[in-house]
Amino acid sequence: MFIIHFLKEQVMRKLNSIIKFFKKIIFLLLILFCETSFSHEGHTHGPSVVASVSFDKSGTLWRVREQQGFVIVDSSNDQGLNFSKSINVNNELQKIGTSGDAKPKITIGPEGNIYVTWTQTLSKPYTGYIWFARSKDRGKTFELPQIVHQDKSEITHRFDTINVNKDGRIFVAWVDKRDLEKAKLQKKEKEYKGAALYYAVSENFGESFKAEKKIIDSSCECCRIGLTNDSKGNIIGMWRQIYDGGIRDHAVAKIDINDNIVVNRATFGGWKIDACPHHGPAITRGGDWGYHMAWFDGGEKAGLFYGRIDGDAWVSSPSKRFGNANFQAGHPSLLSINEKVYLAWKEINESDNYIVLAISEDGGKNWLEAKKIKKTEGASDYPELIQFNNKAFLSWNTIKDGYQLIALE
Amino acid sequence: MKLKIFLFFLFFSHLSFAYEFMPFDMNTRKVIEKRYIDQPLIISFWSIDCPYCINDLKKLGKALSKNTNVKLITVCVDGKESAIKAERILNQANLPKHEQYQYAEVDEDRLRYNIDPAWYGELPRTYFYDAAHQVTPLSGKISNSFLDKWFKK
Repeated sequence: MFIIHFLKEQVMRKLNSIIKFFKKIIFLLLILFCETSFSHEGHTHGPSVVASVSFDKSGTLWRVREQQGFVIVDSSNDQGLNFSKSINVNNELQKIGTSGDAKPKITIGPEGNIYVTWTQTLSKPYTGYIWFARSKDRGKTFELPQIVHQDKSEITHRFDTINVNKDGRIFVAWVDKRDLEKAKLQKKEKEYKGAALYYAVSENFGESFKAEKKIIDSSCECCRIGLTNDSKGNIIGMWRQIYDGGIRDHAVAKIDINDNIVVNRATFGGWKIDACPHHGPAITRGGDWGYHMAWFDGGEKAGLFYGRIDGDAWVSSPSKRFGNANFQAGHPSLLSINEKVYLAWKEINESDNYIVLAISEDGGKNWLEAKKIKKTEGASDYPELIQFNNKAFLSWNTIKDGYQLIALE
Repeated sequence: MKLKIFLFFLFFSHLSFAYEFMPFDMNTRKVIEKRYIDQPLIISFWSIDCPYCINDLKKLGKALSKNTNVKLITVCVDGKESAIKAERILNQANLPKHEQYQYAEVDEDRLRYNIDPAWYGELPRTYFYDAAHQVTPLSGKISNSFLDKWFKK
């Protein structure tokens, strides 16, 4: 009897200590959990400095930004002076790419749908997912966001870019490393250079996306992609590509609506570097002859360049240098309205960030003297040129002076 | 009681783990140069978003284990919200114990201009100071031949 009682007591003690042990573990986990969220979100701040905008048909300006893990959208009916209350596009907190060339984008289809894309940064280095969300009710609500690619492995899918053509066909392109990962596993003799570009298309106004396709191998890993359309609505893309010998010049491609892809080399700067330039190009359609291009080249003759490329023969004009390389001239934006071409870029000096604008009145053949058009003392985004009813605007977000929308002559 | 003390330490040790980086602001480069005057020095700027950076840091770590007279400074160009990820990546590089910094200016572009107006943001970006503080800036992957030559200097 005594022995049984003793054994019982032993078992109870053991049980008690097990329960205590688990209580401690749960307590520890709770503490750890609190700490992690504390160190992630302990800092309070407003929206990050990047902003992307687009006019709808009625002249309302739609703006997307990132704020503490949410993509937020608001709108302005007075050309950027006052904005509506913003709404969240994603319901669940995410880490959203806003550094370097990364930022959420907004664009509006011909039928009036509002589309937003962004890159969610995942836990492993350099990894991400490309998200897409649509509003069918003029920005009152956004539908549940979707990932545009079918490959959901935790690898690089970053630097989203979106284009909607005149028929409402949506084209989303991004930098993707699935082929690099595959090459690593296969241990091929020849090293896989860089990343790849992939794209996904929606032909039902953003309801769903078709399976993604590859544009090219060995693109640069960390530069934004420039997109525009030809007159028929096919995609014309421009990006930094890794050529033989590790030279990072730019390529242009026509990707037609039947997924035929023709790629050509567009720039010949010869910048040889194994690095992340964080510096992608801009492209826009000119007249019947072809496209305007602007890009940054590093190395000994570092600086900002402009060139034209023929749309049939894909021959580039000699490049023309813009801006002051001593003041970090770079991150260009291009806009073409009839024969008038606008080229804006950012520079930095001891005291300011500022935007410089150059204008051509003859389709980019000759250029008027470039002018500083706006400055700010604090951090600022890269410039964006947009248009409404054939009128040009510069969109520029700054921390100190707030959001700026400037009507251009 | 023991548990409480343990938790107390755990809480603070964890916090210090997350914020082990020192702030790098507009003056830091000059302060570092002054502090290590007459000493060979490598300042390496890197980012959690740059796949080339981690390989370069590993390479530097290896080279420095044989050249202990050279001082190493690393500067992560991502803000403090990336501290945990940055720490995790940096720990993979097997670097000797060294001063780790992280950008602490909101205007990162101007900070970069302030560090070096001829640096356009490409990463990795490494500054090699010889004992007389003659500086060789280098963008991108560091070649073995460059490292060998520089360390022999």
